[in-house]
Amino acid sequence: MATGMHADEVQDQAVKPEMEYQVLGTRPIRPDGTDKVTGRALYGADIRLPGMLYGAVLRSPHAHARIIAMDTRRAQVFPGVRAVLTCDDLPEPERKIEGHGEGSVDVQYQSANVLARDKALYQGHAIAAVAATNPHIAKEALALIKVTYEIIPPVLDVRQAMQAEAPLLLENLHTDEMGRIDDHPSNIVSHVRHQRGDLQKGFQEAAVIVEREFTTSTVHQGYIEPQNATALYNPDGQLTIWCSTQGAFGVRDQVADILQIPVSKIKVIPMEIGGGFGGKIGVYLEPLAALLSLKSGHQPVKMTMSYDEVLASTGPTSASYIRVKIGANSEGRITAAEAYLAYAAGAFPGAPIWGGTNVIFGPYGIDNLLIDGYDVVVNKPKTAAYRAPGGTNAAFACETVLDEISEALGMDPLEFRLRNVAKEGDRRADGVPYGRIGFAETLEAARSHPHYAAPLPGSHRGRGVAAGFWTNYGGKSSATASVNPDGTISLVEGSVDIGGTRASIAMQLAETLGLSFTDIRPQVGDTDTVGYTEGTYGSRTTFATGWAAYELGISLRQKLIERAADLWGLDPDQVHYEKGVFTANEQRLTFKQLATKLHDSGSPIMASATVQPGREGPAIGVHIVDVEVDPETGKVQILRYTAIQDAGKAVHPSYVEGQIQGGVAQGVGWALNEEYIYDDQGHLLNASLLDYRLPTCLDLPMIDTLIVEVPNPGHPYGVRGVGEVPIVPPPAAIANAIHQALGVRMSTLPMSPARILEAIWAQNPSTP
Amino acid sequence: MPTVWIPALMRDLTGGEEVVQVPGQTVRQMIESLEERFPGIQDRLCDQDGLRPNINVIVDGEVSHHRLRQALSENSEIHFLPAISGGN
Repeated sequence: MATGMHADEVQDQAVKPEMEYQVLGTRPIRPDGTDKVTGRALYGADIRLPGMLYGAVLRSPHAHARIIAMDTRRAQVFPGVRAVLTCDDLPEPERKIEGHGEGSVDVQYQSANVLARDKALYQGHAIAAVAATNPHIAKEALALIKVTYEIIPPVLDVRQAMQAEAPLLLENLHTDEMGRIDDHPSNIVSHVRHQRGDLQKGFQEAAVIVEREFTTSTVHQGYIEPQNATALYNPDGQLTIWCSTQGAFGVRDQVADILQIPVSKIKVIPMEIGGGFGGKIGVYLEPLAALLSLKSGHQPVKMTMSYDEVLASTGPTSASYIRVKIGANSEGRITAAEAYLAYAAGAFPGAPIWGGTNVIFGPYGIDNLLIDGYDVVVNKPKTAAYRAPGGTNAAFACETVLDEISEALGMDPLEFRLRNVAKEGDRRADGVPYGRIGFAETLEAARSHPHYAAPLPGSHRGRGVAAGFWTNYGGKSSATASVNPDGTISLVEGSVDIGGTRASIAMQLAETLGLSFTDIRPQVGDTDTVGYTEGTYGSRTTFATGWAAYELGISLRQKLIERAADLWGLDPDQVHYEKGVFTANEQRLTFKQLATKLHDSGSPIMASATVQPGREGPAIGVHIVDVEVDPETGKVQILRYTAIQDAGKAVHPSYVEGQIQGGVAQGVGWALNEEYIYDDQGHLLNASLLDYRLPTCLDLPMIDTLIVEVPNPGHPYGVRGVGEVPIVPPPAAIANAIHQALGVRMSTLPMSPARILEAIWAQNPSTP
Repeated sequence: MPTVWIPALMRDLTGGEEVVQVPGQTVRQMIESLEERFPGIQDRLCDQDGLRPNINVIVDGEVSHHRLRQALSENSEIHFLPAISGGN
């Protein structure tokens, strides 16, 4: 909840018809644009400090192995080496959940992921680290560390890991079923269930029932900039870290917990970031760089990952197995729905099963349902958040089955969805009532879009549609603002700017104060210059930090009214402020005129705001895609793509469109090509961008977007988060298009050429 | 009285009841009332530090940041859900 006001209260005074906004809805140039396009923006790898050392990490060649012994003596005496680090240098923290929402971590597991203790749990798991005078010496020294392993059979598949006889990754892990802890150790971390209504009765009422199984592969966020961290551990105990992160405070808190030092001893300076998508919330290198700096005699230590390390050692998102059964009556109403989801967490607990179970029947009003979800550890890198974590897997399964049902009913797939939309007051799968959502409006916009009615001539071509749902997140945000004598405002915000949030936050401050966007000078603060702010994740930054900016505007406005009243010898109630002008009786001062008088009329004027809003409002997207499939090669070409999305209020439409297009691009990669390929011993066979097939501009058409605006009543300006939901529908939409093109139903991601051919051959065994 | 939606995996303690009404002016008091009626449910919801960290309490549609201290009204609707976690 924001300070002082409830969402319902601010709504009346702030949400206005679009035509009344002066700044929101415009498309100003981003404040950081010049530095970024001229190459002057500073990223973590640009850090250079006097006496700086270079760190490197020794990683496990085995997917599952006990560490029997480690001998670092040769590395320690190698010329140029200044420090060698093993798990003996790391304190062993107790179990503790640190952070919130997508940013939460279990510190004990996080520590064991940063540097393995008794077991290596995936190929690429960090085992030891070295700091040396240059990166080449550091890498040579790694080869001098002798590790004795006892190899244990790995388990890579989520369903195999759930078997009672499967090799155990974590011997002290017991399944948690909402507080009921199983007596026996297991690879199953937790079981989530949502259950409402009478499932049996619902299926009995169905005219059509479709039940299908789906599998999805491990995929990576594919951010371009690898993880990096530079640390300087001063003799006075003060630690400074420069890094690429989605949240400086999260890094500070995780490092404090892992190293067991007070947060006040740590300052984290977030550098510009080359993408994160959820993958740069948890720490990997930061604690190692800090300890190497300490052990090397307080010299700064810089560490950067290669992209091979990024793929093999940082968190991708879950591979999954999903089973869905849905029934609908002849009127096209869903009468019952059942789902089973098993998500692979990687080596430590934390698969986004909450996301999968929320999304799978998310936007639909269904009275009879049962959803079971399982978080399961396997011998792969510990998963991290990835844009609508768990949602894309789930929507692939549900939206494919819905397509099959609508076909069986002879009903238009959008009409079928419209007959089942969740409306305000309907209950989600978990029982909580929906607030105002724009699903019906978004579906109607899709049905009315020229793309949906456009002819699609030619053979092996098909059009598919799918919807996506995401809960979004609020979280804690802080910002400060001070009025400059030239009438501008310096704004310091705690949110790292990944997708243009300097602009979207500054615009909300400008709107609140009736100023122009260029009057606001936004910058991202470090952990010592601004109040606690959660990371840029959960589609929360424009929503929550934007709300903080709104609060700043309200506060500054009141302080300036009081100053104007003081100058005019009036009561503040007599002063009126609108669109940058203070008036009282016949007197008038513009914002800039008043700003010039601040120095001579009293103390400087500034404000700070902290918020934790809780009515973030879910996001909805509906996608339409045309594909052409080459039946000889199995290659799928995207011919046309249109994404329609409810943004609540699009603060900066260009950045909303960019988020939608980026989400679709990643979703297309997930749908058609991206996957971690392992051998049966758990060795990752495609740990490079040559072999891990991200989509390129050659794979994608122009992605058209249409923004629908159904204001979120839980935000002063009606904002909904927009960044995550666009990755949810693409695989399902493409699978449905492939079905139209070929007549085959795809149930495995990625739908690579090989799998397309297999599906064609399975449909017609005489084909090859 | 506040209305409480019982999580599906805890309905073994409520004889299958999905929605119950119990007194309480705060979430803490409401859980104590639940415990009187359905012994064992408090241990499932809480550990020694309070509400289990992997469980969120949703009051009137909004995740409560006050958790056990959250004030309730006569018409409050309460849900206990798995907390969003980071996948980290």
